[in-house]
Amino acid sequence: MQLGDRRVLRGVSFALQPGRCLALFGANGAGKTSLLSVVALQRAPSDGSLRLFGAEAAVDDLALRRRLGYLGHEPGVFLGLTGYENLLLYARLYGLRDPKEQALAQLRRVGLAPFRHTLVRSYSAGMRQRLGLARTLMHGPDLLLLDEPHQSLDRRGQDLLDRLVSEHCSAGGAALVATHETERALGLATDVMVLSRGKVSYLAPISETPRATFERALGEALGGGGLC
Amino acid sequence: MLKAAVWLFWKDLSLELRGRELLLPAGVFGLIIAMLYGFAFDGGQQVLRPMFPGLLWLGIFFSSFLAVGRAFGVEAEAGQQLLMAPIDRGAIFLSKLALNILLTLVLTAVLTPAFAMLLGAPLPQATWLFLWTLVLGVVGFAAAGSAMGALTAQTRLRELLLPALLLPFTSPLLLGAVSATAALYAKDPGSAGNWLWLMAVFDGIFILVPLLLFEYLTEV
Repeated sequence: MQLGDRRVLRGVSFALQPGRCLALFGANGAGKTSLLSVVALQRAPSDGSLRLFGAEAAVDDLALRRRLGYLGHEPGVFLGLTGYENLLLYARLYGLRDPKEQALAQLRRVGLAPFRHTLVRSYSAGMRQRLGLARTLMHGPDLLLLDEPHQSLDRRGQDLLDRLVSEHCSAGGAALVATHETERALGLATDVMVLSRGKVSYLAPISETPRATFERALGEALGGGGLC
Repeated sequence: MLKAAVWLFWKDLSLELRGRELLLPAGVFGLIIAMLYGFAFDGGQQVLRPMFPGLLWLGIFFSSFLAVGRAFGVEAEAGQQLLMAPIDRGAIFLSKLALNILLTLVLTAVLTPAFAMLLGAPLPQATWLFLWTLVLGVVGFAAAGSAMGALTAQTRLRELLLPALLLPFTSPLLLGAVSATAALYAKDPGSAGNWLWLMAVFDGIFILVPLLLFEYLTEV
């Protein structure tokens, strides 16, 4: 995978089964966001292939897009609309049944129902992140792609996020979570991957990962695996 | 696709009605241009009449450029998220096109009488043909602006690239609009008809081609 002249991902290969949650670690610039953007069909890999749900993935595949839920660094919501209007718009674009009720239900789920008629411009960063999470989950995606989702959230918000991701995976969904929140991610994930300079330096189920081994891999990646 | 375009247009219109980030600066800019022309050329003089079509259309294009050019920029990263929704991306183009047409029509409805008044040029007798000229000019500029706006939305040199692409590409439209308007002022609706055809063809191309290629335009 190449961005301009820079090769950001090299030989990354992994499979994620339903019900699994893969925590993705790495230093800044290690390639976490690039990997997520490829899986999210935002950009095509410059070489290699991506298979999603058992089929070769193409960036313009609408049916595949419907099965993905992506929350990037920014919550991806419109500041000039209210929280309710944002979710209503996405409920309609995803063709959900009873979009008004779906939007309200999601606002209740993330604790934003009392602020549903407030413009998102007036929301705090944490509230925007909660709204972004609601938007990501609303259409019931099979694969969640979360890029540093804990950022901006207070402790209760982070607990809520972890609970929702756990529920998603328990219900047979899969999740790929790029994060720097080591302890939270280890409590949430079933598998861990460490990226270093665009390569996978460690990949294993948490149940088979001695803590010391993981910490050594992460330490090496953070020590020299990203930007200078 | 049409259903998604309607929802997106509702979103775009709501954002504009609340923020007035596009129409207000463009309208104020257009009125200032009209006033400056009036002061600079001493409005009531007969000598100004032949220049009126050119001055009017330049005023409309430049002020509309402020609105049309920024229509893709105002939503930044939230707009990126839209690209992930399971909708035909042509719907995004259609919603932007509809918004840009509406904004440019409102601007034209305000600027045309303002220019006519400040430059001392009464509207031509062939009022319907003149209105038709305005509509074709507005739709063409909005369509080209929507296409170029999408093309340059993700580029670093957007502020430079957009005018560098949009203004040369719309020069046939400008030529047609000025010539048709001049023919109507010269009481020669027959020759205005040819220019109106040129504008209609321009409009058709700049609506259909981006609609078909919008998926690729957003990946550039």
